[in-house]
Amino acid sequence: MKKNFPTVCPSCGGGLKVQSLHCNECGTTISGEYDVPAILRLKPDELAFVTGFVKCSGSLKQMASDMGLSYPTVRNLLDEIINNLNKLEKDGQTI
Amino acid sequence: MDRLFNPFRYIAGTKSLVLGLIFMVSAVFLLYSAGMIQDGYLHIAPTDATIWSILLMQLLWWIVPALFYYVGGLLLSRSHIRIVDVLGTTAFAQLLLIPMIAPMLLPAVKNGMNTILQALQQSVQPAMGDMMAVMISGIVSALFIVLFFIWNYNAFATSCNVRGWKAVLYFVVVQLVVTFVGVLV
Repeated sequence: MKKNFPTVCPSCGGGLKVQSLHCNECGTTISGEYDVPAILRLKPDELAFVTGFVKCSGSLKQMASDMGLSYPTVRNLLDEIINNLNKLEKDGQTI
Repeated sequence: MDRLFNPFRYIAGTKSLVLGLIFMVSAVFLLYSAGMIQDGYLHIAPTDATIWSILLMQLLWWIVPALFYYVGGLLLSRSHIRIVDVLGTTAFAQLLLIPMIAPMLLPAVKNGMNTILQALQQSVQPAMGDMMAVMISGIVSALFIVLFFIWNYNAFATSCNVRGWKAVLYFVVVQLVVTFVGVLV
C-alpha cells in the first residue's frame, strides 16, 4: 500500500514537523526539529503535477498533451500551485 | 458530464479556433439556406442579405464578446492569458448555434409559426399540431441557449483563469451589453 506523506496534524490541523530521521541501512536515528519543505506540503496530485512539469522540461504544451487537457487548463493548475506555494511561503515555510 | 458543460478543460487554442470557424461557417450556410440572419446576439430574423453579410454578422456576434472577455481577463486575472485561447474557446462555443437554429428552420416548425401567427391575427384557436411543433422546437432551442451561456462562461473562466463573483458579474455585464447593442443594431 502506498502511504501519503502526512503534512497536517489529523487532530488539530496544524502543520507537522519532522522530529526524527532513520537510516534503514545502519540503524542510525537522527533527532531534532526540521521544517517540512513547502513543496512537500502540496497535495499528492499537485506534487505529481510538479514532478511531471520538471520531467517535461517545463513545457506546458507537452504537459497538456500528456495529461489530455487543454493548455489554459494546465496553465491554470500551475498558477494554482504557485499560489499555494506562495501562501505556504508566507506562512513561514521553507521551500 | 464535465465534457458536456466545460469542453474547454480539454480543448482550447488554435485547434478550437479552427473548429469554431468551421462551426460558424456551417451556421452561416444553414441561415443562408433558410433566408435568415443573426441580427442580434441570440436573435435571428428573415433577410434577403448576401451570404457575406450573414457571415459578417455571425463573426461580429462572436468576436465582440470574445474581445470583452479578453479585456476582462487582462483586468481580473493574474495569469498570463493568450488571446488565441479566448478566441478559440469562444469560437468553439458557437457550435451550439447550430442545434439552436436548426429546429427553427424545420418546415413543420416554420409552417407552424406561420399558421399560429395567422390564427392569432384572425382571433381563432391555432391547431394543436402546430402549437406542439413550435413548443418542442422552442424547448430544444431554450435548452441549447442555457448550454450556450454555460459554455461561454466556461470559455471565459478557463481561457482567462478567472473565477468567483467578479468573473460572474463581469460575464453578466458583457451579456447585457452585447444584447443591448444587438437591440440597437
